Amino acid sequence: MAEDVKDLVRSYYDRVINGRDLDAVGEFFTDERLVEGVRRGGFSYLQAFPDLHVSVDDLIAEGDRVFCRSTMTGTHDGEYKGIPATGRHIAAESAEVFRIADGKFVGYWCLANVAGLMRQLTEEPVPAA
Amino acid sequence: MTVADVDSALSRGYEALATGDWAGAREAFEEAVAASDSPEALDGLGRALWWLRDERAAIVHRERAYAGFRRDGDLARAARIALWLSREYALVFENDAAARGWLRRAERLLNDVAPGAEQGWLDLARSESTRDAEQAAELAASALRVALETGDADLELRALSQLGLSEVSLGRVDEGLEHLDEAMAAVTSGEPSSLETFADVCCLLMLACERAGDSERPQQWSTVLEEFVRTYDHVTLLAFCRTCCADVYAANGRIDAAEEELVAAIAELTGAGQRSRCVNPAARLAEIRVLQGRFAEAEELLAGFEDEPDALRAAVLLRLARGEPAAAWALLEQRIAELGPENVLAAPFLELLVVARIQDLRTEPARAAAEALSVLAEQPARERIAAMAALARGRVAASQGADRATSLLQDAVNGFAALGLRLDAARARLDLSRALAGDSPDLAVDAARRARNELEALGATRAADEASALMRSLGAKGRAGPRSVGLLSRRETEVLRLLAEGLSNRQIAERLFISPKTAEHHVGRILGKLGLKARSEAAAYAVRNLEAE
Repeated sequence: MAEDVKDLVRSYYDRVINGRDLDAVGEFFTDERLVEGVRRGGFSYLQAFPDLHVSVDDLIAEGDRVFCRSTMTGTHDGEYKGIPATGRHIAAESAEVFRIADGKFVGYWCLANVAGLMRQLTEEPVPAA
Repeated sequence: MTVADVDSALSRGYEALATGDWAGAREAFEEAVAASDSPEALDGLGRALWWLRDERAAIVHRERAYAGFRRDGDLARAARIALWLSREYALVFENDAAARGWLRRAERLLNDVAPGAEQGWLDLARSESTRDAEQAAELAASALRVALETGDADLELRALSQLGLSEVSLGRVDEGLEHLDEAMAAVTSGEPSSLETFADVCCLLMLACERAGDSERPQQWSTVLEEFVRTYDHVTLLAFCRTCCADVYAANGRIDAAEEELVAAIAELTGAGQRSRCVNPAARLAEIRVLQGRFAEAEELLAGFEDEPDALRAAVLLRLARGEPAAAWALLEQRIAELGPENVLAAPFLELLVVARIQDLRTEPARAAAEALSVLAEQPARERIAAMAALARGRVAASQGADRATSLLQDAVNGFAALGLRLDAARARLDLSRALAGDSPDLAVDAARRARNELEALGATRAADEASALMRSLGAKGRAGPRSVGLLSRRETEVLRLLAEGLSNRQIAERLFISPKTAEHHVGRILGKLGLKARSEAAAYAVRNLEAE
């Protein structure tokens, strides 16, 4: 059981984000508002970081929830939250909780290190020694 | 000295070379050189000196032999020596310019020689000197064809083993090791070939096993080798490469014997300004130092060549032992990417990657690495990798608290034990014990005790201490502080036992495949440690204090 729900989270990242298949969001989420929100969010991140990749670092399952720790990496080649492309390589960690019922996500919570990401895009580069 | 005397000295020299009596060969050829200075005599003396590990003098004499053969118009023999010189300069002295120069000389000379076995030897030399494994395999195959056409048994076995090594490097591991097994079978069954060929085939087998992460094979061959050496009374033969010798010991779980060989190998090579022919002994010794928990010494050994492929395993083990998993997995990921994860040569690195990722609390990449290892294990005749995969999956499951951890880890213990890989089995048992600790503390204590006893016997101090700590945490009496294995090392105990049987230093040396000097050194240390004055006192001590085996 624990493995099944973890597999659902793994395949979500494999297909939707790393596989660039935003249409498939609807196969994973039931709530229409969630589907729309995740799709829009995914779209804007893929615009900003066309080579975006999310690697799942850790999955912990208990009851109907899966906790996921992940790291996204990519190159800033499009506008992100008003910052024009810088060409910088970024890495940011996220913590997420998925609630699962009948093989679908019925709830989703995410805390991403957006502040750290912004800092990587705006910080003055350290001059090369 | 008459011509007949010179001839007799030469034939005595060749006889001695064929039977491994290097000192006798040197003596006979020295006589012949003193009388005639012929290239034959110089060449023979060079070969004898090479076996006596005076590589520099060997080169000097064979260079003179080369000049002599050229002068006499024997271009084929001159070319053969040029090829040998090229190889020695490259392998032992890392002098690539000299190596290339001698290879060119040989090529030029062979332009004027009718096609024959020498062309095959040239292909073999080219195969050994190229860095492109694909090309190396092609050239070795071509040398093998020439060998079969010309009936040159030495060339055949050398080319066959070089082909095997190239195939292993290309990831065609099973095919390559099969070729090496075939060559080993031939050299140890006494098929006509020189002892140089014997030494080379052994070296290449060890190197290939190192690349393939296959430690059962050297172990299997070690019994055959020891038997061969005993039959032919070549005590010095196995000592031709201390690093290989150490590998054989380590594979059999005799870590202290391996350590001893490696320390001696490093001292010899450093003293002579040479490098090892095969596996880097400093990297090997560093791995052992990590096992013993002697990190500072491991670091010192690795200083200066940490980034070389040879040293990767030792560097990773050191970082893991020091609790720096992120540095360890970064090194491993890079190497695995270079090799390709579906390459069987990546297996030992994948196993370490699982450990590093778990230590870094990233169980998902650990799981992916364990999966990759399982895929590699699906091929037939991959029992060792299957046991590695079971261990890796068991560790991942244990890190997630999954029930199946114990059965996977038990599979790993059984798999390694069936292959006679005692160290691997004992370490897997330690993992098993940890996984059992929550639900079955009694079974966990039992597994930890067995792991500790085995690890201690093998000399893996650090892991043995971990097992002791685990036992204590489970409420059992584990030894606290540094373990005590008595005053004497295992090797010293072994020597003491033989001494008590009334053997002389020379006889002890022969029995243990070590030099009489080393045996003498051991006896001295035993007397010193036990505070005794004479061998007879030591023998009496042994009778009182050593249990019968």
